Amino acid sequence: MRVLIADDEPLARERLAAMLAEMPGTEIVGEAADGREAITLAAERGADLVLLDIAMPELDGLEAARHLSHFDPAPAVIFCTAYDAHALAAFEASAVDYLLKPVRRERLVAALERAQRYTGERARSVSERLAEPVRRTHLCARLRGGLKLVPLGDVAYFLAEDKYVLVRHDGGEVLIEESLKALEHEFAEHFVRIHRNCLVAVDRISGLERHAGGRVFATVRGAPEPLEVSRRNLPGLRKLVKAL
Amino acid sequence: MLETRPARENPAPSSWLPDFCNPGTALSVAALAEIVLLAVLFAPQPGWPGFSRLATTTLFVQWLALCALVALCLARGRLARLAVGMSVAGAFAIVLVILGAGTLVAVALDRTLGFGMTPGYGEASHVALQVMLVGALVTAGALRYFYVQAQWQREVRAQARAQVKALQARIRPHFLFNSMNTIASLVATRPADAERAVEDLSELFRAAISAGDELSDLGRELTLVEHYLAIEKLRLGERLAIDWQVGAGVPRELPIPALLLQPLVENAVLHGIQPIAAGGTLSLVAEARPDEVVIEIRNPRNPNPGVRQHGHNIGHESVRERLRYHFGDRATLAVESAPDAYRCVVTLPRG
Repeated sequence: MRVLIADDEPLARERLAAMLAEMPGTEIVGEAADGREAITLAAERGADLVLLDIAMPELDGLEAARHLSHFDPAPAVIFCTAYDAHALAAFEASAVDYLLKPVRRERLVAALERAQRYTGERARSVSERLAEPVRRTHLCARLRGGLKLVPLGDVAYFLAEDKYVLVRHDGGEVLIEESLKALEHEFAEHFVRIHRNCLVAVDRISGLERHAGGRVFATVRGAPEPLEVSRRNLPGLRKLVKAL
Repeated sequence: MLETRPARENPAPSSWLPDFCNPGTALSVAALAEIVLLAVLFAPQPGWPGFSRLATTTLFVQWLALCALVALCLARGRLARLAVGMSVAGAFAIVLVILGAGTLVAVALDRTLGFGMTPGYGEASHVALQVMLVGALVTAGALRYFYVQAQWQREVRAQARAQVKALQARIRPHFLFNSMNTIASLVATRPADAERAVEDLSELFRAAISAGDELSDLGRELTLVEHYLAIEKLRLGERLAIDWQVGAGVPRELPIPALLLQPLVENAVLHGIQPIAAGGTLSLVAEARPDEVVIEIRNPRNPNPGVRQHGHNIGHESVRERLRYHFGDRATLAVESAPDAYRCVVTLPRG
């Protein structure tokens, strides 16, 4: 089994690595110091199992797990945590397993056995259930075999295109395989629907302008050109812009 | 004789009496006397009573108030050892006797010297009785006020104590288990470091478990912070850089509340250093000034806005409350939050 260790504490990684080294049939394919590195390494090196710390910088373990669950095949995830009553409650029902630090050797062996029995298909459905309450702070796009993580705060708008959604952000644009409706639901606090095919970051809207023919466009910071507002979404948007 | 007695563990039951020797209390008693005087003067005939009448009666009333204050100040030690009812009666009796005697003396002086300040007041004993009657009502009101205020203060103090206790009991479980994990990792490969970590952790827990609301001192608190940082340094490795600048002139014996600094430093590590993948420098600068000691704790802030931010100021209110409890307005905690840095400054009075 190809195992990736993700923990921001070097000594915690060292200890897990030392324990795993004694276990036959396991191979450590990498060590990550934060959530972002964890999903990048997992994609690059094709891990079957990720031992994931929960409290990590950049991207915490719960969010990293959610991104990992979209991989194909999705690696099994075992959470490692010092103590977190809430997080425990959140994934107790659905995680492959979770380990409490300091991790005991016998517990680690048992968790590895569970992970081994775990098929990719189940991993996906389980991770999705577990990750449900986790609101992402980043979007993860696959680019030519690599991964691109876009912080949500950098996103100007989402534009639906066929079966993809184009994400326009400060560093350019990427495509993600998600539905606009799900994005709208997840990020309702920060994004607003201005058209059937478009979600815009609320705090980037700088104004509305009426063009010839009565069509209304929103000017959005970070967008190369104004974005059309549909008749249906106009009244709500007017109110929102006024309140800003 | 009294001074040689050992200090009592518990305050006397009637320690609700304020310290009458205190200038603040004296001032409020003087103000109270003046208010009563004005009420009495204006009540019978509305209108301006005339400046000279106001001046002479003020002189008279303030003289009485001063006498009562001095008497209560002298008697407070004895009164404080009595049961509540007895001390009320005692204080009441003292004030009445002083008012009566003070009035007799004032009227006698006035008439002997022929100043004519008390014309038409009738017999001196009559005047004294009137003054005692008004004085009795005012004193009853004032004593009730002091009692209620003392109760309220006691409650506030108890609350602060409770909060200290709660804070001390709240050793973050994360910290304990992460430290244990660190030690478990070190035992096999670096036993000497593991040993030191166990010692540091023990010091921290000993302080957290045993500290009551009595004062610790700055030296002890700084050492505690060093123990704490030693553990975090093992845990976070290269990511935690420490800039420790405690000047040679900083008085280590300066009394400060127990576990005052460690929570601030813990906040700085938890919310400042740990969320940044590359880590950063935590700086602690302690500086002695002529009449205060300034301790500044600074940490970088996470430049990545996408990451969930946790409340930084959970501990601040509690630190402020404890400073207020021990030092009143003379100690402060200032918090400055810039986009890239976070700064806590504790200012403590010297002596």
